[in-house]
Amino acid sequence: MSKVLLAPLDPVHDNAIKLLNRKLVEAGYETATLPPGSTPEEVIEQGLTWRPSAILVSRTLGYKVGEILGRLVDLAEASGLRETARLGIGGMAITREVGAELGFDATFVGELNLPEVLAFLEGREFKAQVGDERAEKRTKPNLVEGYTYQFKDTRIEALLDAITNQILAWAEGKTSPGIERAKIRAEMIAEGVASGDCAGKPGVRQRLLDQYLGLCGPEIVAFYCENKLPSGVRRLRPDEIANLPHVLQDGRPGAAHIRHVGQKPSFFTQYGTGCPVMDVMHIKVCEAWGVDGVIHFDPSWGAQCEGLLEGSLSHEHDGTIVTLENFRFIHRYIDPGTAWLVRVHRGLNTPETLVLGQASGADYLKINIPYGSTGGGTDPERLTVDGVYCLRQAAQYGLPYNIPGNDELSGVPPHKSFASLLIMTALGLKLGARPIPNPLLCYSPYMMVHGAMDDNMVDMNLAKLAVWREIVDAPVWPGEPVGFMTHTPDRVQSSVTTAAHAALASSAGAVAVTFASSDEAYSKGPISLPARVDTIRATREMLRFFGSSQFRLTPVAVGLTARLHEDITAVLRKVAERGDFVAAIYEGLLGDRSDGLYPGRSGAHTVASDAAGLRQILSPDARWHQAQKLSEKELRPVSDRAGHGQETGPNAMRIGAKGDA
Amino acid sequence: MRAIGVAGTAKNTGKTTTALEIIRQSAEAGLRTALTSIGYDGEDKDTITGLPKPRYYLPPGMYVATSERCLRAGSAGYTVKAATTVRTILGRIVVAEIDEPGLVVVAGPNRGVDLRLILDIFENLGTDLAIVDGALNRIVPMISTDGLVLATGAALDERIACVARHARAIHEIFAPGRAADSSAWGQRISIRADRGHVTELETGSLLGEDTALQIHRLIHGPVRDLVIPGACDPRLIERLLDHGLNCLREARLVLGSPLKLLASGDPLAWSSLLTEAYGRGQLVEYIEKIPLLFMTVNPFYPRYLPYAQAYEPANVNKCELLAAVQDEVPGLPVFDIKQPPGPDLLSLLHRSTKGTQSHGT
Amino acid sequence: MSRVIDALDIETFLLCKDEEEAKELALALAHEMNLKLGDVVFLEHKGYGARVRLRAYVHRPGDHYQWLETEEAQA
Repeated sequence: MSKVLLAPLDPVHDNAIKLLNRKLVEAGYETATLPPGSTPEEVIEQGLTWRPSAILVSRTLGYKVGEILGRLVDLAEASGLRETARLGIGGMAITREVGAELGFDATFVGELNLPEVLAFLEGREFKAQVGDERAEKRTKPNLVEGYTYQFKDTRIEALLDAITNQILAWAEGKTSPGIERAKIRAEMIAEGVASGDCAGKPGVRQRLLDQYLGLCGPEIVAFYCENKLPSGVRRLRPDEIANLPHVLQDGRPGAAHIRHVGQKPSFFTQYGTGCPVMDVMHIKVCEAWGVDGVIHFDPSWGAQCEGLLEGSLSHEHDGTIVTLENFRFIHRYIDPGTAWLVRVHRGLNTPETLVLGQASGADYLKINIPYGSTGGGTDPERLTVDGVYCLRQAAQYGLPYNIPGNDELSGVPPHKSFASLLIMTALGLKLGARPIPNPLLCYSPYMMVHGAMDDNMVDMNLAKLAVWREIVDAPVWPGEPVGFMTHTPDRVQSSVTTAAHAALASSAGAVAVTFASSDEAYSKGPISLPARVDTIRATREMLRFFGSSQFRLTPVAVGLTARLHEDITAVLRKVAERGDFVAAIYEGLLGDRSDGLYPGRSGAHTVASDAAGLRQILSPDARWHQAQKLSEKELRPVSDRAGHGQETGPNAMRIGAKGDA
Repeated sequence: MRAIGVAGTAKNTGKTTTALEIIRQSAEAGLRTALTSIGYDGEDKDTITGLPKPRYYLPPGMYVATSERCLRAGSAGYTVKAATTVRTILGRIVVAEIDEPGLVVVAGPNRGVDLRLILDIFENLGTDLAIVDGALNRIVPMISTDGLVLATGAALDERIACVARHARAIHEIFAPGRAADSSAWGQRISIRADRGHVTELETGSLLGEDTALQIHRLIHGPVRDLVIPGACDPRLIERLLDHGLNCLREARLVLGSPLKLLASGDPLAWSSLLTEAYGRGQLVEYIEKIPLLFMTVNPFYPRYLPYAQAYEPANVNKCELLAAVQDEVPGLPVFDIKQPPGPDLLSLLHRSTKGTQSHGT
Repeated sequence: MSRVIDALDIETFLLCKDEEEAKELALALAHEMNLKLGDVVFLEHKGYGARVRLRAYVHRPGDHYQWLETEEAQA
């Protein structure tokens, strides 16, 4: 058995030596340790008596300390011990170069890396690990594995069955410009002409592009026909794209883990600085710090224009523009072990975003029809049609999707938000897709007004997670992000509150958690990397603190869970009884004006019963590739077919032109 | 080939400056020169003080033994002449010839046995003068060289008198000669009684109380020779002598080498012990010996600023320092490399001081 | 700067290949920003860069505190 002598030369601290001692004994070595403050003479004397095969020393480097360590090495040489014992050193500020100057055979830099020490003791060359061992073997999380999706509450199951049957019957055969554009885009991708710089098949591209532009809003048409970029958007330069690999080549991919114990939850973070190059840097850093997945965020105006841009585009405000090129550029740099989620419910471009995401390698999608069609979003009728189409596509491609419950931020009570999540869950299941609900752990307006979190934020959040376990065996993914509206611009507070929420979610068995940065409450500029790292580190520390220990439901939390369960059932009953899901959204059954919600307006009256009907909506006069002749004042408001007295919002692109009925 | 070690009594005492001057003079004289180090010499700032350090800028035609990685990190053009099996923290050591002048990061073998291998390679390549740069205060591997140059200065101690006393002590350590019967002794502590019987200990070094006690117990009568081939703590020998071991007081002390003494204890303690030994008429000799060729002094020291927790460059009076050290080491050349007139170092490197002194009977 | 009671911290993230490079860059950054005697309080490198906290003391305990001066003295 190999013998190792461990000598802490620091006068007080020997924790590193004690830890190493334990690890070496576990690894089968015979060890002897000297007390702190051992002198070089004592170390060598012990070495001469005991004859170890290696002597490992720890010391913090400081002025004149080098001479002490040099004397140790010299004594080892003078006594002949050098011929039989190898010398290794570790400690603060001890670098490889310092170790070489001191004459040691090995230097151990940074945190204890047992494989490196063992390689040294065994005389092997150590190949630096890329991250820790667990990170080396990191595989992309499969968040739906092991869940049966069996409903435990048969009442809710029956209600959802009725609701989803009605939705599917209603949506049957319907289409929208978004769906038709998605089909065209899919064909362009299949033909290899989806990119503007594609060399082959120019005729095919032009034909498909003409069809595509016939379904787009004027701003998008102006982009394709006149090369007019929206405000704040520029094309990435070739050198920016080409230089990024060089910047990354010196890095060491691989990651630490945020989790301390177990394989759940996976941690996701949102990115969308506006610039794909900056996004890649953020993603790579987050990966290195242990993030398991990343979520693409694009600008809010992207949901309100009919049609998507193309090319490698940078945006100077929040959100990275959805284009095939941007998606593919970013995806190229994402580690194979990192999951990538594309937020599909992008208003008028929902189906097309799914097509681009799927073509670029997305692992997960995100869609919630009620949430996306309220609060300044898309018209409920339009998004329901588009959403159902997307869920069919998700099932076809085998892409799980998560369902965000961020409508709570408007003031929607959790039971209504969860009712929406359940409807989306059941709808996807019925179509063969795999849903993952995202209950939002937040300090929402509802919580504030009703005092539901006056005492603590644990009971309500635990109840929100517990009710899901009561209703259905499905993966639950709190976000997006956890702790919403608990953050302030203070770095420490923001990181701590995220970490606390993440620990709670982890304890409650969440399959994944989306967390923010400590810039979450800072709105005047993009999220910074230090802010991301701070939150990751705080979360890691919090999980380390709690380990395998668990939060338990208090009697208060049990009561909240039961009430939530009843209220969810009541909402679903009302929606089922209404018999018209779209009308239910319009009428506020899943969140009304008193909850801070109102139906979305983008894309109103753009649903047709078939493609032919769509052509009628988009009259021959609406030749958008000649849109340079159109101006804002020539566009007339869309007529109020549904009788809801709606006007299109100020940011919405209008489909319809002179002569539109 | 002549191999010269350039060692320092502490960091920042001017080893590299001294070595650079030797290299310059050697190149001027047309000698084929080689360089290696028992440590690492590459950074342009001191690791601890953050103050600038001189770097090795080598001319074409020189050989250098350093790690492959360090060769690539330099700016000099080179051709690798020999690969070795010697490995250090910074990688495998190779011997290269400088083709284009430039900066070289020198990180050579850190063990004596490996240094011998490198010096053999230098010799086989036709080197005239091989320079072995020291590291910090490390010195023992340099026993493989033919002579030692020692750099000292205010970085050891800001008090000039202390530097001078230290220098004298070192000079005295190099005074004893080589034992004529050095090859008769092995690697263990040996006690030869007056009647010729030899007792050996398991160990070759006297560094701990236990070993001292063993020696004490093994001495039953007059001792002719006490041989300590390895490291030796002078305080323990003093204790042996002080504890009434009259048997030892007339014994010949055969110690490993002056370098091992320097590694094992404070030179002032050795100086005191040797002085007392000579006073008793005791003979002190070495198993291995290299000459101390000359010393250099450096008035520079890093002054610590407590309020700033940083260092700034400072100097003691250079003339006083040089004079003080010269006074303490009569017979040994001492220079401040940067003070004119510049000495002819090459002639000093060929000085022979073998057997200059064997103190005692 | 006179109103900084004691220290100025800079929190940032530096692109670098390892801890050693991170430290060099951090100290160079302090120099660029004309922060005297900047020190690295915290540094952690993973992957492609390092999270760094750089500190410069404006007023150490025992120093002359500019913020303690009267308004007349400051004027």
